Amino acid sequence: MAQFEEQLDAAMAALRGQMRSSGRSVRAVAKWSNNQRCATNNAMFVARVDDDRLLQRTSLAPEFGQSPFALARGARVEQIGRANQYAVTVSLLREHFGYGIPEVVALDLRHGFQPNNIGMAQRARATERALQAAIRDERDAPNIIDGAVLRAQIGGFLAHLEADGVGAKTGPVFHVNEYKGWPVVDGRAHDAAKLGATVAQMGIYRYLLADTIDRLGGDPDTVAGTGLLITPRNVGLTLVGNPIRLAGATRLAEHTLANLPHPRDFIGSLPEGLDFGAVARGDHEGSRLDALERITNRLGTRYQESCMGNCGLAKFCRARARASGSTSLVGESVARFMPGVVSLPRAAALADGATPAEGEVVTGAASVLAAAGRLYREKLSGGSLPPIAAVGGGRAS
Amino acid sequence: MTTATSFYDEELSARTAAVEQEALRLLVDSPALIQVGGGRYHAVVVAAPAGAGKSEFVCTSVSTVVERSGGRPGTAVVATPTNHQAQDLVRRLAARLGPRHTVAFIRASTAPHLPPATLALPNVVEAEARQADHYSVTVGTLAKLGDAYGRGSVGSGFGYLVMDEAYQADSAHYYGVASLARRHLLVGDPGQLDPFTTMEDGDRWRGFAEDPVQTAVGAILGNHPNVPVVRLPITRRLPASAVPVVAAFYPEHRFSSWTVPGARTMGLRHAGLGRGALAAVDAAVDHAATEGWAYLRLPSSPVLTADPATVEVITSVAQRLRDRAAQVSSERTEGRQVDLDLERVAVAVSHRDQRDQLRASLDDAGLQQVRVDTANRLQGLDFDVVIAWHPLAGLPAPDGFHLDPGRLCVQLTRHRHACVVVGRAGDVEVLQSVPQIPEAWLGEEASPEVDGWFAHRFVFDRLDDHAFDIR
Amino acid sequence: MNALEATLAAYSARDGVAYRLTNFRHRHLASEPIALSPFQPGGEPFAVAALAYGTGPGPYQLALAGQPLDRVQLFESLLPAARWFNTRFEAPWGLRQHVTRGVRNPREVELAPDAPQVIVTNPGVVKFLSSMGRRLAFLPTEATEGGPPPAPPELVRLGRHLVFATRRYREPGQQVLLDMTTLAGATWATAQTPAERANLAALFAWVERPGGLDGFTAAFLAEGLSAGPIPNPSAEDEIIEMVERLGEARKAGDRAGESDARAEVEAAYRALLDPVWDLLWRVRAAVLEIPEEARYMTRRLTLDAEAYSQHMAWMDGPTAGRRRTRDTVPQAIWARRKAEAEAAMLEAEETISDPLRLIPLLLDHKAVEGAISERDFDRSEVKHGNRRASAAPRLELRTANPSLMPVGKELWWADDPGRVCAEVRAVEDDPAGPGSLVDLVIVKGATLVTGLRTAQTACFSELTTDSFPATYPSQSVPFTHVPAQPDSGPDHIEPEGDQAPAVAP
Repeated sequence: MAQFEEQLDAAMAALRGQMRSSGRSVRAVAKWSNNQRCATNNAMFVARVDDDRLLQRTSLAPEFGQSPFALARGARVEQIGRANQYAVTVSLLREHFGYGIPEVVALDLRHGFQPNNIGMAQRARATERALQAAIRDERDAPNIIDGAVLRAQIGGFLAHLEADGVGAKTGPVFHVNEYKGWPVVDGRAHDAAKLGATVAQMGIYRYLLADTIDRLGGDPDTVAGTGLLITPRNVGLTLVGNPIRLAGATRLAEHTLANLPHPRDFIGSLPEGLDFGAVARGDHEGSRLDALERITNRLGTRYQESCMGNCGLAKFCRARARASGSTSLVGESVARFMPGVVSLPRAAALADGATPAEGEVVTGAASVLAAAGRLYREKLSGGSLPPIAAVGGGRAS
Repeated sequence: MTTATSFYDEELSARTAAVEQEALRLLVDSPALIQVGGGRYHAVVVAAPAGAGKSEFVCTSVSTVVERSGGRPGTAVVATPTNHQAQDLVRRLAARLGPRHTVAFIRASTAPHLPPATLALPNVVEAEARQADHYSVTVGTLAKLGDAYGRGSVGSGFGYLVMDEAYQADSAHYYGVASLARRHLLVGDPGQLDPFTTMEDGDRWRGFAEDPVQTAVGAILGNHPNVPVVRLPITRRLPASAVPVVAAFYPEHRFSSWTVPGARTMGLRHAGLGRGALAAVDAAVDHAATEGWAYLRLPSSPVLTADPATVEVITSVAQRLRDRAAQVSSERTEGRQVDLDLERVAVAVSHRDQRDQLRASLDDAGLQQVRVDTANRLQGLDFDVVIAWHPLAGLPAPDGFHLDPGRLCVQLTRHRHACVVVGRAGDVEVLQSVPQIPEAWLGEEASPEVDGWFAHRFVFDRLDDHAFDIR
Repeated sequence: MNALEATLAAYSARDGVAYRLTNFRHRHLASEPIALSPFQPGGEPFAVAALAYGTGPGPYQLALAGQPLDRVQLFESLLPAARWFNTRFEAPWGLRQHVTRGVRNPREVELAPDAPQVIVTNPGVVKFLSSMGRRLAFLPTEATEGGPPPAPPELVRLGRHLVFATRRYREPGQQVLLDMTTLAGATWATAQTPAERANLAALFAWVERPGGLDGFTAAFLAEGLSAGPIPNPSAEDEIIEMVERLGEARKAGDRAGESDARAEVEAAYRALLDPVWDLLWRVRAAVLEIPEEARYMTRRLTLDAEAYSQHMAWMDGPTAGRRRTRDTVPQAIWARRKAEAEAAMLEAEETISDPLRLIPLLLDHKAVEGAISERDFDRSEVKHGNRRASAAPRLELRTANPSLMPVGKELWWADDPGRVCAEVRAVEDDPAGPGSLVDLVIVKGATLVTGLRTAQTACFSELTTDSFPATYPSQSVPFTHVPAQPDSGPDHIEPEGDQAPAVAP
């Protein structure tokens, strides 16, 4: 690594502290993109903090992890695609992209490498050699690269991203392949959000593949604009090929990779002695949360609806929103109705007819809230607002 | 003052005429490209940017086929999404075709009659659907013609089906009229608002060929990708200054303005105030007069959709145009400066409550003639000066509705002289650095949400050069 | 989201309790619904790991597959549930009668007195049931050469009922299949984000507040509960090991081991299901307490009965209920038209019948209400499209708040929103009050407004229950909508033949 990169790496390691790091991956980028204006999110991204781990064994621990059954299914699908010298995958490539392969020459980069950075770097080099061979139209150039690894600049650092597969046919023409365990049923992807994430992911691979081929002296336009998404079809495990146009996703990938937060913007963002590791370690919940409090006060946060289920700090930030009565507690779509109103209890007071402050009148929020409160009191059956139930149980009616 | 001959880009006019002729040749002379069930059919799509002169092209097309057929009854049936568009076409067609050919208008029973002036034309009739085949040209809305076909009141014998605003029409409406003729001409603007549904579960068929909500053009190209798409390279309404900005909405489509830079001018007879609350508004109006664009930014702040402060600023812009005696000159005035007619000024918004508040505010300021409406209602119309309430103004988070580039496109393509965009500083921050990853559907090639994001970004970048901040 | 919901979210945050969004309950709750509470293995949309079923709170019946990816075990476990479900789901059809339907072309049809009702916890379960229905509905019931073993016809029947119910679910206002999360979400506002409100346990905690806890704390304690269809990953980590042991014991012929492992799996799923089952019924009970909206409910229940009857007639038909998996173009056009019309109708009905639901319209100037300050019933005018004058009563409403209603707008009388329409003629500031004076002239239904002669107040809104009859689109598809490259087949059905091994990996 260049000296500057080494310095950055050291600074980010210091920011992260003694705790588990997360890999640089397509998934990490997608996760980051959910809340780009949260400085803590950005800091955790550049420092590669595994945010799901931060609050484990505290009362604010998130539910996270993938279903083992889903993982098994995904593995099963890939296994089917690979069995018998990639028979199914080749037949799909033939069907959709006209691969006329008399003989399958597969390069298996999934087995025989260490599951760490060294291994990934080796796989990346092996991928490039295989691509080089295809560009030069060498006789035994692989036509399937299984587990291709592509180099990418993510957040100022070199990262290695693993694609499911790259197909190469005579031309050469290259195709991005991706396997997923979720099915396409009657022509529709089982989950539109998952398909969206997959298309974005394939776009990143296409972009990086074209970039790699360019660096190797080939023509980036030899990467086909259409990739192949391989999924189970309908209710069984027969695999089907779904061609996906990737022009838009490639453009999105290029833009995304060029606009990720940069580590240099976070050098020294936390004072000496304060780092994320202090939150993740230790048995004393109080001091762990204390450290997190200091970090987030320093950096700033931006709690929003999409945080829950996506970021490991969600319950922490939610508790802070509750403590301050921030409108972010109820989501952006509600906060829209209370501009200039400093908190939810204040909004409630305005709805009860409290005298508004200038800043609340000028945005129009005060009159909307007052009108809504008035109408609600008038029209709620029974005439009066429900009382706050006494301790001992009770339900709002 | 510009001389008559220097208003227009003659090379562009010639090129456009050639493209239009080519489109007509493809429509009329080309062998039928589509074979379905033993029958041969044909279609041509003409994509035109906003203000290209689509309706004139529709008239040219109809006139061409009518001449060719010698005025045979049932030569052309012309369909549009709205009644207003249909009635407008009746008027234009009658003028273009001349007294020898009659234009029949098939009216839906719940729709208004043709305006008396149009009805009074000697070659215009309001007819029953059953009579349509007596006339060489029949005009109606897609809904009415589809209904008439479904009942058997009109048959399949027309020579040509010509659809205007084909990117605004949906597949369901196209289905209803497609059997009227074997040769179709679909003319429309792909940049504007797509058809939509009020179904809650509107994505039920998204990406599928059977999707009734997709555009009419999307339906036929999806089923018959070999249908040619001809792109008109021109806008007649928009001034030269507008093209670099609205290019955002036509990514694969190069076009220029019919009028050369300087052909459209705007001036203000009274000077602006150098200071005070209206200083920024005046500076923006001055800038818009010479550059064709201005972007007024209120301070960054969370706001309601129908933000009172924005209502006030927009009203001020209209007021200043009036109080400073704005004047315009163009090819229409033969280069002479004439007073800006306030009925030629419009405010384009996204939401009905914004419209309602502005209507009250403009009326209070004595600006009753200024039109204010949502983008949906302003489609197809043109004005001299437009004030556009930016869809993302004060929004806390982006969503599909506001990111839809069609809405912004309509707002920014109504003007002949100048457009003043009003929003808030920091609106661009709503976009964040990178688009959110949207949902996707098999069969849908582009992502409207991502495309919308890039279009909005492009527009912000261009408008930055024209920005004026209100303190 | 609207200003009222935002206001109630604020009240909710301040007080730590849920606030009512509606005065009435706009969905009928059947007295003995068919409750289904399934868990699927994560990522497996076509396998049921465990299914609790019953018609009331208290002990549920359990279908447990053991190894849900094993077709044999899965079908075996589902068969009793299928029989149970089919009996109850088909019961109303047993009480059907002949009626005459249609005015222009009357025809005789069989109509059940009502439709059955299925209740579940959330939309995720609905989606899962639709996947299961998709799989079961097309199982072969006869043996074929080299094909999979035939499936019991009861399972196929169950599948076809599930396909019907989950498709019906998409229609506005339907009540054949209800999920408690949507129902509760429509009833109460809380200080939670929409994503949090999608968690039934967390949402309902704000309503129930056990032990008198405030909503935040109650929801915090409850939100870890998964109401299905997928358990939390931590639970599945334990379960997958038990399932693997079960599989090994089976392979090895170890009956005792198999039985033990099965008991473990059952205990694990019961531990997941018990609280969910309980929650499902508690939510239903809470919603049941709210008075049912009477005016418009009957129409929607009749629509359900008709849809159900058509489904059952089809089930009795030659294909025994087998349906296309994709809509044809005319089917899609028609479905959209109906869905849009029904959505408009439903919105009108729910809003007009429920004063709290009217509030957002009033705030947005899409409705006006006020005291009738002037009325003139002797007026007439020539209405649009007519030649002669007809009765056109005029009203002036004095509103409490300034009204921005545009002049010329058409509004419908809340007491008869299908037939009485008025036009806004003028809106002026009320010199004697804070609001406006709105001038309305009745342009439609003038003979139906005797109530307005004496009423003190009136309400008009832009919502109407008037509808236009629509004609079904032509079945003959024009060239524009016929693909040049036809799809692999109209049905996309392949024979049931999992490439999967009989056992989970």
